[in-house]
Amino acid sequence: MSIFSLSEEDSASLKNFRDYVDEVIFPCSNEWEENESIPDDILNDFADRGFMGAFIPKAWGGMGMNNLRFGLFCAELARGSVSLLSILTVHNMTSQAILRWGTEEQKKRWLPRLSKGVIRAAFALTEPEIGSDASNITTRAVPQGGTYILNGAKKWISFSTKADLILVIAQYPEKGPAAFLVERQAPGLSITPMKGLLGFRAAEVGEVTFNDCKVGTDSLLANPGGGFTYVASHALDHGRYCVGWGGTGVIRGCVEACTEYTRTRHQFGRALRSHQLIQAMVADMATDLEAATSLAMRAADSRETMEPESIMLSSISKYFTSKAALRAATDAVQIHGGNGCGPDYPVQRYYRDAKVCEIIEGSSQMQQLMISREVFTGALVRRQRRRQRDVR
Amino acid sequence: MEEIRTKVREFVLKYVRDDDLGDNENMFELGYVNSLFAMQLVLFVEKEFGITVNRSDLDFKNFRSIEAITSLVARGKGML
Repeated sequence: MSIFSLSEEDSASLKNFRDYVDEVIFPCSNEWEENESIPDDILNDFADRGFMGAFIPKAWGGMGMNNLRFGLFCAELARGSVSLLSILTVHNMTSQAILRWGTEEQKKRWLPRLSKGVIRAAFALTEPEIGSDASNITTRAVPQGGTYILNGAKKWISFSTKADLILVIAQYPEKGPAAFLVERQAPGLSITPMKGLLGFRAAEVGEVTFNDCKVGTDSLLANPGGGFTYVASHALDHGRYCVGWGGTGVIRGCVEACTEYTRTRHQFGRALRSHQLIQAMVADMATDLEAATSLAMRAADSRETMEPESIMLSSISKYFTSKAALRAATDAVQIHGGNGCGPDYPVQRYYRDAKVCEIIEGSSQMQQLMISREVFTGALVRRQRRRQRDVR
Repeated sequence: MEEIRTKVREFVLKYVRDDDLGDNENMFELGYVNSLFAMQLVLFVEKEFGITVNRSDLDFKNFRSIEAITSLVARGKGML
């Protein structure tokens, strides 16, 4: 894959990411999916390398990667294990929400430890009966004598089974959604692992239940009412960016797996790669990889300069790339035939995980709604015209 | 203030496409603002005017109209 024109520093980082994934992640990830968990020694090693704080500023103890480098890292992680990328994504969604909207006290309390992975974080928005209609969640938070009492349930929460801190979105009386930082040991909080999932099997997904769960007033993140519009939306924007890059990693993994398989596998007396119908599928994968990478890099560029359009570009990247990843994984399984359905090759894992990428952090249909709204308001068209004028 | 108001209005109309939108009309009540646009507004005022929107500014009343956003920016720049 041509990663366009990376700086020497970014190229060196990318090589380090690839070496790490090839040595530590890729050889074990199928086993993790079978066991439906990532071993603690892997997660601890991941944290020791500083990766839990990859996108947290150095001032708060993180690695302070820029958007592009973090994106390249997400892509490589996904090539090795989409479950591990999911864990990093939700840990960072909560970290970024604190960084953006937390008080100085909340930042000092949480960010240094989140950076080092001393504590692990999850993000809880989805509920058993509420998915895309996220602003109408039913989990409630009621102020009571200097505390908040939470009641309700969250479902499909990645990393919740191992999280020490969960960013929870709950309805606040008369104000609407509010965001709370809930510690694992909070009274009334229980977490149940979810097993037998289609994809993201090792992402430590769980159901989180609040039964008169009591948290302190210092757990409130941002003003009540802004919990979805500002806090959750900021976290989801970050999540979509990660998934967009993650999809490029899945496609790249498919291309690499198929390149090797079609070289060594022979049918009808010839290597698979010499059959034109196989070539067609690989060509489509490679084309999708270039397109997806272009979109992800454009999103990275706009985020780096904090352009308002960065939110839409991350949505477009996530939408296109997750669909392209599923196309690539579907063809990769097809090329591998029976072997593609078994545990000895990575393509069955890519196939299952790519489908989930179309659903998490806003389904493809929700991305379509967001994108079409921009089209209908003419904003995209006007920006393109403005850019064309600037080029001239 | 007028320069700020003009820039805010220009940005808002890119999304709202309602040339008749009054400076004091409530964009939330009119249904123009969703969570995506709300975040874009935050990024816009921070980048365009070099101010930081902090958690105490996170009140819908600060973003409900062109005039409200203009006032938020003016306060952030120490003009009010």
